[in-house]
Amino acid sequence: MAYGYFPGCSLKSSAKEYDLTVRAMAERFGVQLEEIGNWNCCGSTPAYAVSGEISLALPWNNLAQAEAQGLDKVLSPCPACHSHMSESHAVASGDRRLAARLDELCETSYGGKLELFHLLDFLHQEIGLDAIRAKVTHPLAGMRAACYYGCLTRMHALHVDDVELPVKMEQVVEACGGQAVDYSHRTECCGGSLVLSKIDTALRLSNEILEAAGRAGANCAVVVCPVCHGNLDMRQKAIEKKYKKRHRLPVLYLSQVVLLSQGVGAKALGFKKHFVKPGALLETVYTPIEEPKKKKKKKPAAGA
Amino acid sequence: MTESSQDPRIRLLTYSEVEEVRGYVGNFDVTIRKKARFVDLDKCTGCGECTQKCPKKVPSEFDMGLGKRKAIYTPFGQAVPNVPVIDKDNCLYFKKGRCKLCVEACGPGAIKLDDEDELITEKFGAIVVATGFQQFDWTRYGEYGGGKIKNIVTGLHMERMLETTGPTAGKVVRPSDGKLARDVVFVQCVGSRDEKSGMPYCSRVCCMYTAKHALLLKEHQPESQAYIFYIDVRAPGKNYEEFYQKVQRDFGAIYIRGRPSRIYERGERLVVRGADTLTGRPVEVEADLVVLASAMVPNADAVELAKKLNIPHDQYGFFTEVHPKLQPVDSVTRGVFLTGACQFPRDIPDTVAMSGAAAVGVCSIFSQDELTIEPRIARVDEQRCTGCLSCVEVCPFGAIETRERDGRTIASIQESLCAGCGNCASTCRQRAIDVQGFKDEQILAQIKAAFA
Amino acid sequence: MTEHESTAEQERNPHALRERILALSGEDVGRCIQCGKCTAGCPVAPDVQPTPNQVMQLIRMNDLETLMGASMFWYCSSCQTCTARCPMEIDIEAVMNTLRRLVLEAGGEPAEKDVATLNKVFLRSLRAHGRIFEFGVVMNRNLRTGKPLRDAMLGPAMFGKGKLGLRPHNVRQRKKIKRIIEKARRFERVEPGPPDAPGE
Repeated sequence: MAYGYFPGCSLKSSAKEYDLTVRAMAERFGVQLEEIGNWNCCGSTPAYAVSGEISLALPWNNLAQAEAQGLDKVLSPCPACHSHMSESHAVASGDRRLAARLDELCETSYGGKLELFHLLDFLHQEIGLDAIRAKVTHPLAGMRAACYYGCLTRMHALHVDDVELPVKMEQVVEACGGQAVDYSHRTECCGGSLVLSKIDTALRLSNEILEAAGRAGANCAVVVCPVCHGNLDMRQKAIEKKYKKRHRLPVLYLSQVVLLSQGVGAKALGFKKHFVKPGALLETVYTPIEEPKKKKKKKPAAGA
Repeated sequence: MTESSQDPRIRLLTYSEVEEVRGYVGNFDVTIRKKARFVDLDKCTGCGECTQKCPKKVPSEFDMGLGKRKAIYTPFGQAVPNVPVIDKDNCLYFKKGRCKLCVEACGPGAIKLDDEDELITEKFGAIVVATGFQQFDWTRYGEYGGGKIKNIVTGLHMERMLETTGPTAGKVVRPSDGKLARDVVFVQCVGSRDEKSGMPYCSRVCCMYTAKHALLLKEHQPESQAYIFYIDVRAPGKNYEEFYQKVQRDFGAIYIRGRPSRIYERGERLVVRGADTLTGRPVEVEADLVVLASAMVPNADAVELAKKLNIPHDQYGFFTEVHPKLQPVDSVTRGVFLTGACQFPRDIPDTVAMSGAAAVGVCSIFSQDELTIEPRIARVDEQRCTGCLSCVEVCPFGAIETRERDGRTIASIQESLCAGCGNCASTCRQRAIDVQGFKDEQILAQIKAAFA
Repeated sequence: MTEHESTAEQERNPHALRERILALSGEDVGRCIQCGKCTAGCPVAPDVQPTPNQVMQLIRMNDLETLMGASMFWYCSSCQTCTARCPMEIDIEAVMNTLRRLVLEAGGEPAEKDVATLNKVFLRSLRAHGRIFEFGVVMNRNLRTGKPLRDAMLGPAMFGKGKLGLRPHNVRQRKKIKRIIEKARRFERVEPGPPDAPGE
């Protein structure tokens, strides 16, 4: 069955590797992803901050488009997009008057028939842990992952998981043969979009997360959110400089972890796009087989 | 307890539960299950040899798991009667069929491994319900670690640790490694004053026992420091406010006004992330031990017991009194009295006072040859009653019986049980039941007069 | 009742602000028991005044004036920790969001300029392209906040990793997106004018 796919703006630029690996992962599980045609930005936090109607209307337009495309399930790997879409979607079955207003604004109509998934829900409900386990060819022994949910994921993406003590990401990592470490900051906020306006606050919050992961003996962090990835990976150098502390913690997307356990090599995983090189991690985790073109595969050399 | 066990006019039935209650004030037929304790009450001398010899150790419930007990044990030192009981679920004999070390050790031969539950039914004139409370299961608080963090305990654990004859001999330690706790954070209102957890009420006792704990902690371990996160300190009893002030002033307890949002581990220590709402900023306190003032909630089987006793309970499961101010220890079922925390969170002085009131309530019934009842009770018009008995089903007090009249079965009101609620009257399709003084004609007449 | 009278009535009503918030967000601040758990868990609380629980109290005190200059709800990262943990089940984050709108509606300026600027720049990019053009947003933010070199070190690195396109993605239906944004009710004006400087 084909799933609607809403990548969102981040996955088209700063989180390209997330987009690539989610697609690759779906393909390996025999799931066809069909991108919502002509999709627009969900509005993210700024739209939400400025106008309730804009923040509902923008996702509404995408939902209507997906429905018109004949899709009935939509996967959005970005928890911010997912949460805005979910809120908009809830209007369809809740507030009739508002739904009519949104239809009018968007010059279209949405019947509320879609089922929305974030990546975690998708992996658990649609793929299933058993299927993930069955595909593992390179169990990630040696991976000690600090699964990081962040705020929006825990609030919106986990329909049946615990808000304070979620376990779904850990379960996926463990299904891939990795080990998930227990640490204190799994659901703390990384600062999110404040990184673009109040950077000191964002760096402080992200530093706390990296420190907590380090204390727990993690050799990588695993995320399901492009904003979390940006703050923890791209800004890690700035954090290290500001707090005079060496973290060097590679930050992986969960989709990369799943593919890694299926023997996909560093290149196809887009590790080149990461700021903190996962080279050392890969050596600990296992010897990747892929990339047959290279004669002698030395681990992805440091430096892009 | 010891005193009452020695009074010839008091019969203690310990390790027993009420199975069924029938009848009415002055004439209750109560069926009691005397649970098999596997030790003969009459033969046992309470020497404790059996407990000594028992090889099986399990966490002690009384010590909140901080200490161990044996599979044949008395729950605590001062327990009455001083006769042990065998915990069937953990006893090697019951689990694996062999051991019997207690049997060998017992001089008087008091161990009865073939003991069985015994049901007795006896008549009682009145019932006092004093079944107490249990602690809210704070592990539902994921933000406080969900029960996974060893060094987060409750006030009851603290109570045991501060006891000089307790599992830690009066030392306040970290359960994780047994090291002395230096910084201790107390968190008030865990579960209480929390609508999300279903308990918007105040548990009433935590402020004062926490103040006591902070004081004792300082006395036992002068190098320690107590931090108390509170929302409001409620100290309305005699000398309570003074005590609370003394703990702050003379025992160095630091009170911080704000409910913590998270508790997590950082290395060996805990971090309590709270707020000081008085200075308007978030605060973080590092601690060795965190003590949660977990809410007082009704016993898990309170509702079940209420059904057996025919007494109402509130939305939480606390038993309801007739009137919160004027009849605070009477239940609506005459002859059934309430006391202590089974009715609502109470501290010791309040419970003692209530118990006295309940005892006097019982005596005032027993001192009379005849009981006067409220005239406002239901009456059946025997001619009209068709014996459909719909009224029996709706009576919350079990006050409607049946009897034969001219070969028909009809409803009959047990006057001492009837509380005059009127459920039966409004249910009766034949209009054969009325509450005296509230007949339809009487109510209509009142309405007429009011609108005349 | 004339409009003048109703305004006077509003001015006398000591619960006006609380009632307004209730009407706009469905959240009754009157339920707050001032336990402070929101402030305790708020990731930005160390950097803001007033703190979340103080904001709740200011609403009850009907003190819009102080709230007009408050940074709390501009700073709010919308992480919803306060909402998740509020023992009285108040959606505090929704209250914060409503306050932002109320301040703008009352003609106020955001007390946190940087956040407001980012929001503006972000929405402008959205309006122009239908999607977010990250490079444009960052450049524009820098220009408008007067810190042109902020994140300057990251730019080339991101570009090198193919994480930052120099050209925006344009959605085919962007005219429609523009219409949606213009027609929707809002309190902040999204300034018309030239689209993002770079990339066009």
